[in-house]
Amino acid sequence: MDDERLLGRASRGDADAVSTLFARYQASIYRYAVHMCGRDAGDDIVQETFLTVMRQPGRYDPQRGPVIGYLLGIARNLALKRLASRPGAFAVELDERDETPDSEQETALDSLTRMELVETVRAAIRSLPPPYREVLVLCELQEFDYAAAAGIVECPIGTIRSRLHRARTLLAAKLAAMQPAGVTRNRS
Amino acid sequence: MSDRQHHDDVLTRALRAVAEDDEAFAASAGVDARLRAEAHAIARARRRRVYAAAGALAAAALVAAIAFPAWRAGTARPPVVDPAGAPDSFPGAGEMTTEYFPLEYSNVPVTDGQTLRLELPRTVLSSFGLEADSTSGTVLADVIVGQDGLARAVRFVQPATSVKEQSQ
Repeated sequence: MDDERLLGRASRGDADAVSTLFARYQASIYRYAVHMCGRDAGDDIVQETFLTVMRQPGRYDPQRGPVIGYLLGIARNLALKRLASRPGAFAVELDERDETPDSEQETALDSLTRMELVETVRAAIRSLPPPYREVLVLCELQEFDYAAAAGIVECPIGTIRSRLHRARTLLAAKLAAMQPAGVTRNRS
Repeated sequence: MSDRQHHDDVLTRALRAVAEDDEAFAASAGVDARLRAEAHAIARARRRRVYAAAGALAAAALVAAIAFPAWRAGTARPPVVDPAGAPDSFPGAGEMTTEYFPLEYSNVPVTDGQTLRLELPRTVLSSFGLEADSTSGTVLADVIVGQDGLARAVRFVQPATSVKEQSQ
């Protein structure tokens, strides 16, 4: 059954339709929520997203993109509300310093085990300003194309492109500056 | 390969590693259970609304069924008594009957309808624009009822004995 019909059934109280939609999209929403607001918020944001779908039927417009974009749009609004409770959390930080990573970055990353690498990169992603973080999560981790990400974030494609470029630059700089705990760098 | 390109490749590989690790992430099963419970609650509320609407419709139909004969009595020409119009199913000799009066569901097609002879309070006669010599007691009526149980028409019957008494 297609997503649009499932949405309609879910809003009429069809528990199986809810479960089918949940099974299809909960992981993507959960990952986005965890990257944006932390692990504690993951379940809550997923649950609130689907409750919104059930309680406010008829808001999905197929012209504006696929159902996953609609769901992530709801999740994004919920995440923004949470972040708004942390002052300045979603302000775009325009740091004009040249943050091109130095040549030590790859040396540091190359020397990490896979688990250390993942945890280090996760920490660096968490430290990014939210506007850059969300574009990185959508385009790099969830592999949405620019148009889909622009639909979710509700901004022009050019903004997505420039934020992603900036996010990668910031991330590389942060990784270069990070000293992973318990890791001995192989430097001469 | 330039330094810039190399940086990009390293970063892309690192992000891929995170994305692969993310694949193990999922909301807990309890979330699905809570959502299903909410869906059931929505379905129950929806059913209640449907039942309430159906109840309102039924009440409206009942009111219409009661009000229609009174309205018709006020606007329709008084029916002509047809002494020869005894129903086939009740061929009582010498009976006098009125014409059939349509009831609420008279426009619903009927097949295999039955005529039931009933005793009704005499007061109903006035609802159909008929004169009643008394407001107490009962009056005989033939009611045409479809297989669906809906009454289509009614006529009133004066038994042969009453007719004889009146003629003497």
